[in-house]
Amino acid sequence: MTKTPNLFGGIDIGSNTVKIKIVQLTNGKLKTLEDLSTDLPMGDEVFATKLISDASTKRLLAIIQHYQKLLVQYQVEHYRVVATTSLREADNAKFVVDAIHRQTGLRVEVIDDAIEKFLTYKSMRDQMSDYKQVRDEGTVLVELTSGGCDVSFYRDNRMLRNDEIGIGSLELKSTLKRYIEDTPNYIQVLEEYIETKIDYVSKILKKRHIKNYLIVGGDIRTISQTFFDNKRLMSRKEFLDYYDRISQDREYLIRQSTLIGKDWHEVLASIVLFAVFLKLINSDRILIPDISLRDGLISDLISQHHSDKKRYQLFDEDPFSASFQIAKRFGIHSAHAKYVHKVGLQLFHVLADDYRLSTSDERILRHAAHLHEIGKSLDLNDYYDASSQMIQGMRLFGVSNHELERVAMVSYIIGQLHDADSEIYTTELEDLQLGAILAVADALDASKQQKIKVQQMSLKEDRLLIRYKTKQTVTMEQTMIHGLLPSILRIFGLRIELEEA
Amino acid sequence: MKRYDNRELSWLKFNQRVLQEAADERLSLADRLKFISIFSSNLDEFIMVRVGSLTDLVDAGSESKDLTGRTAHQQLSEIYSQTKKLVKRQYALFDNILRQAAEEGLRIERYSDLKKSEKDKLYLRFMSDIYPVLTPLAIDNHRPFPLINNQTIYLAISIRRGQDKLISLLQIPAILPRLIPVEVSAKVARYIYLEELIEQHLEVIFPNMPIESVSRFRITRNADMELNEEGAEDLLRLIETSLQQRRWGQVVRLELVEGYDEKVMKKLIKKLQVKPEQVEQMTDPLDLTFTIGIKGPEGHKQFQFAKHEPKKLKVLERRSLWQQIKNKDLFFHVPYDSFDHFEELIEQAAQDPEVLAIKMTLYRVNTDSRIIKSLKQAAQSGKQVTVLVELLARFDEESNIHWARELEKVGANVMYGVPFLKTHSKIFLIVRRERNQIRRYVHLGTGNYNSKTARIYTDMSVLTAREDFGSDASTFFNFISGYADNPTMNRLIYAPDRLRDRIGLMIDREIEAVAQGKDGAIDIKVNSLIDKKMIDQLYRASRAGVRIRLIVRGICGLIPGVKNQSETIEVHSIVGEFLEHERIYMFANSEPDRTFLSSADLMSRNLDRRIELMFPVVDPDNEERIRLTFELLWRDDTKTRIMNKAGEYELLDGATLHAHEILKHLQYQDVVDFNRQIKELLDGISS
Repeated sequence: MTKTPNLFGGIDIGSNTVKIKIVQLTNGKLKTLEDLSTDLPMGDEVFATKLISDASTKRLLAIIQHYQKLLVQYQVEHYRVVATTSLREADNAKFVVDAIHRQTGLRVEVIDDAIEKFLTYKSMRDQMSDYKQVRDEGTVLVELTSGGCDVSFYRDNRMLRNDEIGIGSLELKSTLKRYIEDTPNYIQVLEEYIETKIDYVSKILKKRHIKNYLIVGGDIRTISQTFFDNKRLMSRKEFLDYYDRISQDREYLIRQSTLIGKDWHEVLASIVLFAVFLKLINSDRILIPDISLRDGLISDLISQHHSDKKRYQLFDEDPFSASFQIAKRFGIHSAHAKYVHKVGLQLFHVLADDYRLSTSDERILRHAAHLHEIGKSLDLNDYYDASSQMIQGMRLFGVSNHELERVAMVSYIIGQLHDADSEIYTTELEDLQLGAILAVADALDASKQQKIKVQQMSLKEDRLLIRYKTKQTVTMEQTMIHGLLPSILRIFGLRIELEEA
Repeated sequence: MKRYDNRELSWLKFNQRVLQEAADERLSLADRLKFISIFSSNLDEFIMVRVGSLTDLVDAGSESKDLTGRTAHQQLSEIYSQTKKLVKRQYALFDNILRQAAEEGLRIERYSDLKKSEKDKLYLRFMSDIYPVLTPLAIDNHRPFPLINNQTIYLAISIRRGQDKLISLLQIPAILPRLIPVEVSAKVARYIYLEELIEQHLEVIFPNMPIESVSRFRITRNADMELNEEGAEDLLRLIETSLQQRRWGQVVRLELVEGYDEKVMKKLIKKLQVKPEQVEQMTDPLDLTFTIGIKGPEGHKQFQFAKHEPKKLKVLERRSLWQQIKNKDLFFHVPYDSFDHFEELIEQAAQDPEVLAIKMTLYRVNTDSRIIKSLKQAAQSGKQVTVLVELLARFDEESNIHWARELEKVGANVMYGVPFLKTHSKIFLIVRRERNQIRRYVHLGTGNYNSKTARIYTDMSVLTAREDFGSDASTFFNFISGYADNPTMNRLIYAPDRLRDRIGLMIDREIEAVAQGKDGAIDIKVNSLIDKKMIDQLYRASRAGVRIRLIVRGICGLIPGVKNQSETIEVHSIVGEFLEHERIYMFANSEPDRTFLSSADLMSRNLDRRIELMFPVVDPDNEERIRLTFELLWRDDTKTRIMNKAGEYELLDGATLHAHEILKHLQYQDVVDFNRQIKELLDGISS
């Protein structure tokens, strides 16, 4: 049978549930064909033992086999299977992933937290009709997962901040249990504990005008059905009234949690966290959007296989917006970073086809363009190295750990290319190429004054021609480019020729 | 005044209504004999299952009481006493029918009344066809007591061998016809009972051994299976083992033909551990289930069943079925409408290259099912075929195991349901690709996918391509596969988790409507109503002033018309040519849907221990058809019994409106035409 081209499927192996969604895209609209959630509590056992038990593995295989039948049934052409915290943290994750592949043929990607969030938030495009307005008005999004808590701030349709705080629902649950044993005021103590943990973010949030407060994760949609009368949009007062009832009537909390098959400690811990954030901000509009990782997987697949390439542009730009904002917080020269980003990207597109550079390479390049000088905040002498070290130690929204290492490496390479004998040439060619591109862009703005306006870049045999305009003396830039010539020749086999238009 | 009726005694009243049909002289002799047979087979099953279950409770020393306050022991005593009375009435009716049949040429002869030439012919028949399949079983102290099969006639023969007296058991083979023809022509049909013919030739089986006595008997064993599913890795094997055990189930009834050898039977009673109240003395013959197949003189009208040819929907002759379903939900009412439509649809789906998947729940399926054949074909051609087979469908377990294996062999995904819950819902889903779009076709009904019962049972169903139903159907199949936890559905309501509450809510809404000065009305048609909570909710609604009309074919624990309890409730029961089987629920003030069909009765087992489905009928024409059909059935005064405030049934004998006959003969183009005709008919009666 032939595949059905407009069908997309996403499978998400989470800490407590395994989920699949299959959708059909017709005339730009998504129609859900399957949306299935199967309970499989692996989170607690991985948290406690670092292992996924045999019983859970067996059940997981059965679930994935069932899901695979659904993919086959609809002849879904584009699908993706990802796993998050449990498999990320389990010591036997490779065995489990391999077993799934052997038994079903499906390849499971164990994705990093930053990618999980990126994909989840990307699904806003398809799941929230007013996404543009929400992103525009000033919005805080708080997402609670089993492993952490993610806080994002949007304004003017851009992601301006994304911070991760290391308190996930599992930790909150166990903390709450401890407090219950110690004190009757356990809710208040938990609130204080959370406030301490989010101290840094809270200072920033208090300063902002925030219209919308988006709550995601922590089983909030199920919780909402039972505790918030299934409301997906609430006023501040409504939310706090619900919170009062839940925090004051333990019997009610336990009974209702049991009804939905949830651990009441986890339910309470999640609601306390969301309430603490609400108390920090001045928002009067609380939304519980229908976004999810599996929706994000589907959105991502659509963006790869759909003709409307602009459909997700706003969301695809969020990681770059976030990395630029981070760089700004380290006091980089914004105009220079923007210049390097723009010219670097221009050069990348000239070279991409001939040198088989990928879209992933493009993402690395763009982040490195923003971040390559953040090291100056620490060390003005060897700041590329410092930048590299700092990048390795950070988390970047939408950037996997592997990609982050590459961003760090590329940032480091930029500073090494003036030395033809540097040991850097033993590193991966793609990273060298990206480093070289950014080094050229960086050199073209050596004075940090954007004197050179690049008119055109082109390849002619073994020459890279850069036509530019300028009204000023560009000796410094020319000298810097000259210093790069041996490296560029070695990496690309190209000679750079600068030509003033 | 009684508040509730006992489940078992209410069931016996239902069987009594079946027996009333055998007394209806407006029917042909063949139809009346059919009801004699149905009464017997109903009673056999009742004794096996319900008496079996109560016997287990008594044996376990249970003192628990039913909703009427009776213990299991008290219930059993009343059942045995009532059963004996009903059986006596059945035999009297049977004699009466036979007397009338004799006037029309059908006679069941005594061997002694036959001519010598006839006896000679029968001897030859005995030697060629019967003797080879007979196997006597000796009872003595040297070997284990033999297995006596459930509900099979036996002869217990006392034989003298030398100085010894022996007892031998001879099973009357069920594979042979019960009536052996002596003479069949256009004028007469004369028969002799198989057991009598065998009895006359015992000397062939026991040569040189004088026969001292012959006693005829039949036992019924407890067939109420209790499965311990917990930890069962292979449900299929577990059930196979249990079926083996059922063959050895405890004896709960012993039928003995008068004139038996007391010594012989005393010994057997001891061996079989039969209690005195379980012994029933019968007049000859035992087991009247055979009466459904008696052939009278060739071509004689009195020996022909009422004719019925299910109608093919005219609307389906014009365009492709897929297109028709997309245009409008299709409604079916079997056996008035043909069951062939479903078989053809599944056949078409199996052959259609654009069909990707077929999913279906199967509870009871006829052995030569076209549906199974099509499902196999679909699986073989690479389509995803998912079938939920309910292995615990009582008395169909072996058959279900058989074809479940057949389907598995060809690659179908066969599921055996949710542990501890029987899957009783009737649903199939066809997933089809149409111009790169996925379209789902869903069939939901009140009856099984069984072409044989679909000619006798009345059931309603809907075939739809509505998106929300398709989505729910997918979710439902994931749910029963065990891979969807706490599923949320758009339109379908499922038991055990949601159905009871939803019906309760809709009853509450009628109560609220009355409180607001509106008319509250509930119309329900089910096979059984015995769930105490539901009965109490209906009583509460009645006290609030909601008008409630119930058509309950079988067990009904609710007592209507009682002051301050059920004054606004009326209960009808229809027993006739077809077995009433639709489950209809209509609530006047329910929103957004008012009319529902379901696989579930109002019994605790349906609401709490089975996977059932209830679904709204959303197409206004189809909804109107259900409403009009209910109205037609409600106004039937030919086969309707009305339950009085004492819990007894009174047969209406107006004979002005016979709903089954009207529905059988009505010719219509489509649902709109159907509605128009029925409305005119009902309006005509009203005026």
